[in-house]
Amino acid sequence: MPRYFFDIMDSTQSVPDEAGLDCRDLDEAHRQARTLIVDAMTGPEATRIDWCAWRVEVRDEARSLLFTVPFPHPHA
Amino acid sequence: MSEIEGEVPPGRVVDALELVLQTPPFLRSPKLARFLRFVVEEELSGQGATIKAYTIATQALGRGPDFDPSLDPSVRVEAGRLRRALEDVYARHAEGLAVRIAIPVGGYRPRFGVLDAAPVAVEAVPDPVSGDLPPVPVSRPRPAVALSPRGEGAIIALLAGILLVLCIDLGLTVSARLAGGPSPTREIAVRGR
Repeated sequence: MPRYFFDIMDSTQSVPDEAGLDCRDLDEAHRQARTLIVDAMTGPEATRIDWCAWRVEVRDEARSLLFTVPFPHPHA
Repeated sequence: MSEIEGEVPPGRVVDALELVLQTPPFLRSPKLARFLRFVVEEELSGQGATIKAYTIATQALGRGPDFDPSLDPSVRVEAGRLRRALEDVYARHAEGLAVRIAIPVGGYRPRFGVLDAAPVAVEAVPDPVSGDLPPVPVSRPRPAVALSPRGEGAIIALLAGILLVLCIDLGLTVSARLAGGPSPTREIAVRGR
């Protein structure tokens, strides 16, 4: 299975993905990106993070950008 | 492979932790390995209630004391990656693991569960395209006696031979009776009188 990397960032901060995830195809990579978004937005502590400014950049093993998934508005 | 809820001896959790940390997802990411080790060891030492984003960031992820979890989602993001990595480990690299370690969504405290059957090594049937193993290890009960196809054939031939001899014997007995010959049993009875 190909490996995909899910870098999460806004305009000033970045949380690069060290490990990557093995996914069957781009559809599964897209599902994993959405799961990571939900996980990040479901933390135990209150935040003042502007999630609308954040996104997941999904990259292949050569670290080439494949697609981007934006974080949704928290109340969407 | 199902999970049994309940108290798990700390020694078994530590054994599982060390095995998990030697799997590919954690070997690829020292950051996730430090995160996992920190939360598991804190939980085992009775400090689970104090596990917060700030303590993870400053004590496991190398962030400075100015880390502000209300503005910096790093720990939340890494927690999500940690959950995915653990799922991957238990789906594809679970050989020998008797305890499941999970980090439920919405928190950072780990949960432990005993797996009712540690999976045997996945039979190596490599994918001709990618060479990967099948995603879910299959635990198979082992038969009490293992026979090769050749051994099974020999046993079947032996049983067929015995059956054939019994049939011939039965046929001879029946044909002898039909021919009117004295039955051995009756002859013995007459002699006995």
